[in-house]
Amino acid sequence: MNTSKNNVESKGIVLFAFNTDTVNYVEIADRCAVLANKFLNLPVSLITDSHAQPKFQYDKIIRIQYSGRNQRTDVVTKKQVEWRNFHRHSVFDHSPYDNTLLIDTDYLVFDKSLLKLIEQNYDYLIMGSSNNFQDTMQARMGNLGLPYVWATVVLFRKTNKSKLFFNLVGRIQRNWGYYVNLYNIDSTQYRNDYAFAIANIILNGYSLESKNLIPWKMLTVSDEIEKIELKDNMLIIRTTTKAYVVPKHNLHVMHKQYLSSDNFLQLIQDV
Amino acid sequence: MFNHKEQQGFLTIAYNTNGIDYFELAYLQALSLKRVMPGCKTAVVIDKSVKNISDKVGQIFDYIIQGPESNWPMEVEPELFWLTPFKETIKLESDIIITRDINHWWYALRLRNLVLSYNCRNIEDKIVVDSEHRKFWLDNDLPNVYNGLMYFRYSQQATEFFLLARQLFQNYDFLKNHVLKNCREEKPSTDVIYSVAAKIFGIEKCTVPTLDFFNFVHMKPHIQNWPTQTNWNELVMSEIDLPYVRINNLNQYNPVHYHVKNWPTDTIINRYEYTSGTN
Repeated sequence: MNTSKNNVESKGIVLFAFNTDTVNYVEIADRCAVLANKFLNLPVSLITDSHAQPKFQYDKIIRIQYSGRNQRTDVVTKKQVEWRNFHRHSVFDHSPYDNTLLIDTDYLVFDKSLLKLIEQNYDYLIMGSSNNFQDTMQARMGNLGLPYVWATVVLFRKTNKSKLFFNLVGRIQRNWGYYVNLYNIDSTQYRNDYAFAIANIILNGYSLESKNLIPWKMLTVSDEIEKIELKDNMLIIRTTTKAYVVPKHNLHVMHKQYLSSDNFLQLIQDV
Repeated sequence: MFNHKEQQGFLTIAYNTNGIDYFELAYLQALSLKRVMPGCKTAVVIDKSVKNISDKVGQIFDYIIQGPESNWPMEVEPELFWLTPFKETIKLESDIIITRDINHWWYALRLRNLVLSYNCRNIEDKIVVDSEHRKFWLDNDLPNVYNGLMYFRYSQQATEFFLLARQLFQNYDFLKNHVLKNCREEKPSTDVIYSVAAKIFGIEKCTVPTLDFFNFVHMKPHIQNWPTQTNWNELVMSEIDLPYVRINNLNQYNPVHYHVKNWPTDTIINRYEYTSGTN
């Protein structure tokens, strides 16, 4: 493993945020950064474009030129909305840290579990699978496709293997049409989850056997959220139709409007 | 009777039928075996349907053995025990290829005089218990053995087993009509006969389920959880990256029972020939 010159490995969190017409991702990143910094006590850096005006006191703000067009289906409105999810692979070059925790801005840190991982011996680690409350979480890239991973949470050190990995993700992104066909992917929309999965399969000798997966599952909330409350070390997640009570732990929240809401801001203050 | 020439080796049977050149499949199998285990011995049992064997093809086999004539080649299978030139034999169906050195298998297989492969695998290296398409096996409480891959050695026990299998082939009508439930196969298949034989002989004497590596990747689409109406090679990619075969982007480290008889194209065979120096 590489470490910095004085042999003390620098560690930190990196977020990506590029605003779109419908979602203020930079604002969501600011909120995500508060939670991540509070529970993990690590410096947080932001990779964004030249227009962004972040409010959080980031360790570093790295501004890059965003290029590319992509769309996603909004989980609540079911409408096609702009999705600025390219360039994730460039984190290897842009991260200021020897050991980086890359998280999506919709991944809410409520515990210290990732600190246990960051001390482990790895080149890179990816979230391998996710649960949701309905047990309907799609796990494959298509009917004939292979299982995918979640690029929502990725840890990496700046090693040769990690460099290979992120370079490969970049190549997959640039040649997405080819990989869609090769891997029998049902959707033509570029997804980092799929690109990271393909790169991991190739780098592991075209095998699903992988030592690069985080040894626990993530909880994804794909419902429309009205409110999340903290009570007695439990999270009460109130959706439009139900309420779920789970132990206070990290959540992947897909409902972007909730993450921009005052209710979420209140939760951050309560934590 | 027995005519053993070597201690151990790989054996297959290739009786050409209905436009399928099984001998060519056996040739590809032998190429794959020699690719990963250059010193291994290979033998093939053929009938009169296999003609004009070229020197190139002939030299890849250590033994080419003339088998008895039959209009139902499956019933010849038990005779392989008497025809094999090896004291210890791993018998493979001809449409199986080997992608890595499996010499270490011999040490484990010697735990028994006879080992039938048990269950099969999908391309993701997961063991699949085929309860849907092997309902007949469940209905009859038969072991989920696959005749495509087996080990036997010159022994009293193996002799008894294959005598029993021969007897079951000869009495299949009685077996079908009076013993087995829901048996709709007009003619006896080796999978049915060998599972019945295993049941009578003693499953514990002819299987080692804990040797969970002794099986093959079965490319029938339902094993892969793919649509069953289409051949697998029309659904997903496959490529040769010798010694491996990559199917749906996954390297196959286990024997591959490709099942679709036209999958081995000339291009694939040429690749194997090129790396083995036979072309």
